[in-house]
Amino acid sequence: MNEPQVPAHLDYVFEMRVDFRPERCTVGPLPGGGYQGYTPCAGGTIYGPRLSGKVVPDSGADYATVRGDGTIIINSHYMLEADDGTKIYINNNGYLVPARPGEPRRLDHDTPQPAYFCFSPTFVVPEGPHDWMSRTLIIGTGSRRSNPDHSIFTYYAVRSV
Amino acid sequence: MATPAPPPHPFAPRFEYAFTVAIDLTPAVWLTPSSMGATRAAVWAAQGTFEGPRIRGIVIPMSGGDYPLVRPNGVIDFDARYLLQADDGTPIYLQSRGYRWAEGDAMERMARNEPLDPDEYYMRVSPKFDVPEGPHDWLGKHIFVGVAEKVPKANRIHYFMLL
Repeated sequence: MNEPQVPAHLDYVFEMRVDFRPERCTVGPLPGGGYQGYTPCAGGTIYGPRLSGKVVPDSGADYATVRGDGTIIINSHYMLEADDGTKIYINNNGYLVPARPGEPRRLDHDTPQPAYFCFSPTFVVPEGPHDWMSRTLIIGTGSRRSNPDHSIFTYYAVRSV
Repeated sequence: MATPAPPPHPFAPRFEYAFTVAIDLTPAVWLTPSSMGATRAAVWAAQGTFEGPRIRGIVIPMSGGDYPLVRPNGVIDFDARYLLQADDGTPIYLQSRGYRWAEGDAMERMARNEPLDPDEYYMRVSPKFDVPEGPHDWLGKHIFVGVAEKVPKANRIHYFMLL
């Protein structure tokens, strides 16, 4: 940690739970190496100080790329619906680096976690009360959960000062 | 913006300073209105350098630039692509997106290339890197945040790696 030299201060803005359907698959190997992933979203919930609502059921999927070095490039597309009815498109981009065999793994709610699971999402939002989401840099951390298969994404806004 | 204290969270994000990129920019070309319903700008990275605890090198001159959309409400939506070269010769492709906006007349003063204090505007980016396997491959598997300073005819961007 080098806290004193970090000006990229953060505000916790919301958390998103995404439940996945069992039709997950990977396709490959691909000509350039690696695999194409497909993880459809069943639905989910959003809660937190700046946004609450739901993930619109069956509104999208993660189309990850599994790189030759094992790093998974997350690329999820979902529709969100805020409590006031506003529809918001999220493209959740990030990296999942699987733990190496034998590497000690953190547990979160009894689920072993990847070595790295972080995000830099973008949002398309109509003008109005939620349009801060499309002019504020937002980063996220993720937590894998099992039984049932889902993930929790915790999002933070990068403050201006 | 309201600033509630982040809740204690077992996976609360931590950052490590990565490097600072300083770039001299060419004059902009403007397309208006673009087919996206906004103004498209184009500026090129004329030259530059970058330096941090783990890596240093140059911005390959004229290897790319920024092609942002300027929304009708003044928010700039960055789309930058150019090449870095580490001092061991490794080329690194940088793609960055993010936002710049300001309240009041700060946006117009910035457009006139007047100097502003960093707290007069919001300019934050998130880059991703395409990098060969080797000593710099950490760039290709972490999320980064760039805290940017707009200086007249140039940018200075301080990158932090999300751990």
